Amino acid sequence: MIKIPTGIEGMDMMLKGGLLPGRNILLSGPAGSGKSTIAMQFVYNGAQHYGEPSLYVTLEESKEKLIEDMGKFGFDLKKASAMGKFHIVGGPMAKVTHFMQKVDADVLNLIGEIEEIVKSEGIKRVVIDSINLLTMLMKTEREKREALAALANMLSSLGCTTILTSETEEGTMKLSRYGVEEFIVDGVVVLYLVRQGSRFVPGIVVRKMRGSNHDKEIRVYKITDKGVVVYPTETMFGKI
Amino acid sequence: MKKIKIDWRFGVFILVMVVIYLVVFLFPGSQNEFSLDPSAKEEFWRFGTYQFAHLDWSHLIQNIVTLGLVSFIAVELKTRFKFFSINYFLAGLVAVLPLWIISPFVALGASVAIYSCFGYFSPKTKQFKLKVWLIIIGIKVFIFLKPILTLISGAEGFGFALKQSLAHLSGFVFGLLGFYMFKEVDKFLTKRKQYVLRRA
Ligand SMILES: Nc1ncnc2c1ncn2[C@@H]1O[C@H](COP(=O)(O)OP(=O)(O)OP(=O)(O)O)[C@@H](O)[C@H]1O
Ligand SMILES: [Mg+2]
Repeated sequence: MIKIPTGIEGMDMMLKGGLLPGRNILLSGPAGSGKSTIAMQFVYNGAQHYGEPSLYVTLEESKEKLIEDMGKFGFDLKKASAMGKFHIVGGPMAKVTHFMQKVDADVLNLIGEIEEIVKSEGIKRVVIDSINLLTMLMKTEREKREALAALANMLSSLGCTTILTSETEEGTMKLSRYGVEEFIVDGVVVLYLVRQGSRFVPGIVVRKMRGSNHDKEIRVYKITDKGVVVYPTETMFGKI
Repeated sequence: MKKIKIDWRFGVFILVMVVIYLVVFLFPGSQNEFSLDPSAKEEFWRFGTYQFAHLDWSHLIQNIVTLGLVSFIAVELKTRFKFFSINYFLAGLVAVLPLWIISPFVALGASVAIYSCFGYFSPKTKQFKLKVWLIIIGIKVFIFLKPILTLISGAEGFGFALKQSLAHLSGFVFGLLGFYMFKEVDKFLTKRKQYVLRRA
């Protein structure tokens, strides 16, 4: 079966080759655990190494900050954008809502905008960082669920392989903040900060992946100055 | 079962219009004061008032009943209230002017605005798999029924009936153009709404 490699070697081993094309996964984890970095590596590698037009939708940080921060890992986003395969849109939530109010747009309009970009640029890989902020724009649980489903359906019907990031509260073992996201997506990858003795060790696990075999262990990962590195053979807990 | 959402603004719309029509109608001498009168061209406010004035009770009631029908159809066709109401007032304001300028006459009443609604709705009948051109021709025949009948029967008032029909036709055509115009406006507004992430 053809899979879509994330380009993060250890993670691709955990995923037995990569993500399923046209499917979406939820990448959840606590603040600062490296969600944005992993997601960026997925789209950046896609554009740079696999020739797949990619789109990064940021709702947390400004594009400028993101470009600067990711530059420190050696990802030249400016150059990638200039080459035409890498696209980055969005900005801090306050700015997004400001522009939304200005033109009287709602979440469905945002989804429509993403759809338009995907179609016109022939996008194959998408990141939405994060869906917490997207769902924050809606009031009821039902609206949140419907908008997420609309987004996920639209992206997969257009053949996009998608990572949706979601921030979990520190210390919980929940997969997502509202507990609705994981039912809509095809796969869930969770980042943990696990206490081992006196320190916290970052661990990554594939919790669910419809239609694909995958590693079931919690593996160790690290944020290095070249980005996120996953150690696919190091288990978190010593087996007794 | 799916809950059908009724846009109550259409109901409020009729109510407000009926009240306005009644108040204007009960204003003494409203027919003379508010109509679009070629002999009082300098009284420019008449351009804003003539669509709210009516000649007599039968004229008034006829228009109120038709307006009720129009609002009902508007809800059925899931018309966007904003565009519908703008089209309505705009038609009442300008649709009759080309005819009026070519051949001036005392004009008053909401019927031109009301006929613009039929023009506005015609393309929307597509959703019921009705042939739009058939609907349009049908309404046009209906519009000219009166002058045709007067002509056939040889009764008096053919000229007047024809003028009235032409005024209604102006409203109808205005609404028809309005539909396509608002469709473009809507497209533009939606497009603008989909330019948020790229701007932020
Ligand atoms: N050069 C580096 N070497 C090691 N770690 C780094 C380096 N640069 C950044 N980090 C770590 O990466 C973290 C940020 O990663 P990232 O922004 O991807 O996380 P996140 O899960 O998206 O966070 P947030 O919840 O704020 O969105 C920082 O908190 C920091 O600990
Ligand atoms: Mg982040």
